[in-house]
Amino acid sequence: MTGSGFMRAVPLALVVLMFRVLPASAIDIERVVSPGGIEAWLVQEYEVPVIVMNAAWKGGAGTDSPDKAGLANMVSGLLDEGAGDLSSEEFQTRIEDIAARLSFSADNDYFSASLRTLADRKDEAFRLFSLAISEPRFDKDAVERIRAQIGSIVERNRESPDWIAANAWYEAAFGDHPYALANDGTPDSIQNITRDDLAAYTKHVLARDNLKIAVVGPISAAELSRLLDKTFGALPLEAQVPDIPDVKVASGGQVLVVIRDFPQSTVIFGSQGLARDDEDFIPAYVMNYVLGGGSFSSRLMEEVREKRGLAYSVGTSLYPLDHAAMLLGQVGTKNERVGESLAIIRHEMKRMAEEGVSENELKDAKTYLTGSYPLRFTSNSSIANQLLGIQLEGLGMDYVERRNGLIEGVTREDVARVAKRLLRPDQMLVTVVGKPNLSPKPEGLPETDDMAPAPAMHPAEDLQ
Amino acid sequence: MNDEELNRAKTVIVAGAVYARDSQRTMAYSYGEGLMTGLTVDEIHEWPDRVNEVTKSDVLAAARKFLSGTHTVTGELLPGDAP
Repeated sequence: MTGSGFMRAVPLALVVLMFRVLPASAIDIERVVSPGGIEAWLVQEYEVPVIVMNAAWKGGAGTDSPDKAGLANMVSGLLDEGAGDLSSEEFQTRIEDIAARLSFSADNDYFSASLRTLADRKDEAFRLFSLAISEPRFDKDAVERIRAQIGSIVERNRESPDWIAANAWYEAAFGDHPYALANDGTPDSIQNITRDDLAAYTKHVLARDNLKIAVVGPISAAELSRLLDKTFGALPLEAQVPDIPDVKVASGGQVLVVIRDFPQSTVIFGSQGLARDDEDFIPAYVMNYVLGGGSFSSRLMEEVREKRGLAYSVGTSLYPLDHAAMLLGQVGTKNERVGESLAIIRHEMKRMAEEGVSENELKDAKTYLTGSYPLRFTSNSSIANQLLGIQLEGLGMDYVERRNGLIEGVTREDVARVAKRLLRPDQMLVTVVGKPNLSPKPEGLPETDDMAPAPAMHPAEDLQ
Repeated sequence: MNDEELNRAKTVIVAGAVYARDSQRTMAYSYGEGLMTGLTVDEIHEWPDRVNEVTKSDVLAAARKFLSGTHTVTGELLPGDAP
């Protein structure tokens, strides 16, 4: 069964219909366990001669220590910069010779790798991937080049209103928890990272017992099984990853302002969300779609943008990490109308917490959420992303079949219950970057002196 | 250019067309772009084969034709006062 090949060949309307009727037939996932005990989820897909392998190790940037924040991220920039007997340039040339695409990244919880290769070059592609994860060289010139590159990105981020607002939010929400640290570090912390740190991180995190793998493409289970041992067999059996404590979002109604001389304000607002394995997560996901998740159909978009023209976009999303969960929103608007926008957002949250959603809103949300689900499976890469995500969240191999049923099963009572549980508009943590007027009334206010009535708790200097 | 460079260029260009087929979006772009610029569907399908048929002398001829220096445009980005 080749789900996405099926989608490529048949007109879209028919595909959507058939996916709705027969989601179970859409995708056939196999569990492959190699002789050496390495497990991967595989979807055999013969429509296009491209094999995609995504892998993730538990132990991302959340394991960085504050004085070396950015370590996991720096490793992700260096694994394809020389490995085994190949220098950086030689390694890159080999990758280019076979037109493979190799990338690494680190988020809060995971270190991730992605390999795309033409099917007839897979042996060499998997060999180079294996070298990168097992024997990275961290040569001095490569380390300094990547350090300089990251340094310029880190400096540039600190000029971006979106970054400043998000960083201030995370710092206030998570205090001295590692989630408060920026994943790519600070200008100082990245200077503290040594070659030994990079090598130690690789040895401790890129192991076998904290690894999940997803493979999609024209490859049999037997062939994959052989490649898994060759590719991952040299890794240590056990990871040594520090435990990350669970943490709640420290939201108590604070509004923190980072004063910047910009004509517009960028606003991040949020509060405690739900863990991915919370039994209310799916109802919360549907609720969020109605509140601020569905681009043009959400209540916030309707009230803030469509009716009042206050913002180009406004939205909210559920953002569960392994050790924290957030409900996060963002809006950008004129300085004078920040308070008004926030008042509308708070009002809509209060209204939803008190009244839930209408029958029609629920129906529309379900139609969109179930109907758009097949669009997450339209390429080998996107299928591999889904397979890996489902493994990392522990949702089970049958999740693809069950998922739309879970959405369909959500009732208005479920949404009302979860709205009451989650939406506490007065308790939100809000960060604003700009020169905002925080009064809910835009009219008749002096233009300058009283523009920022809230205490400037995050003066710009602190963030530089 | 030497054989190695020619082969690497062909591999990368042909692979780009193969990777494009992995996504419905990029596949639609490939066809749309080809049809808009006057190609037929057959020509779009033959494109990887045509790339593979290119010889060193073809490349040299194209380089002489287009890299002659008589029809170039140069932009310069200079440091200066902020507006």
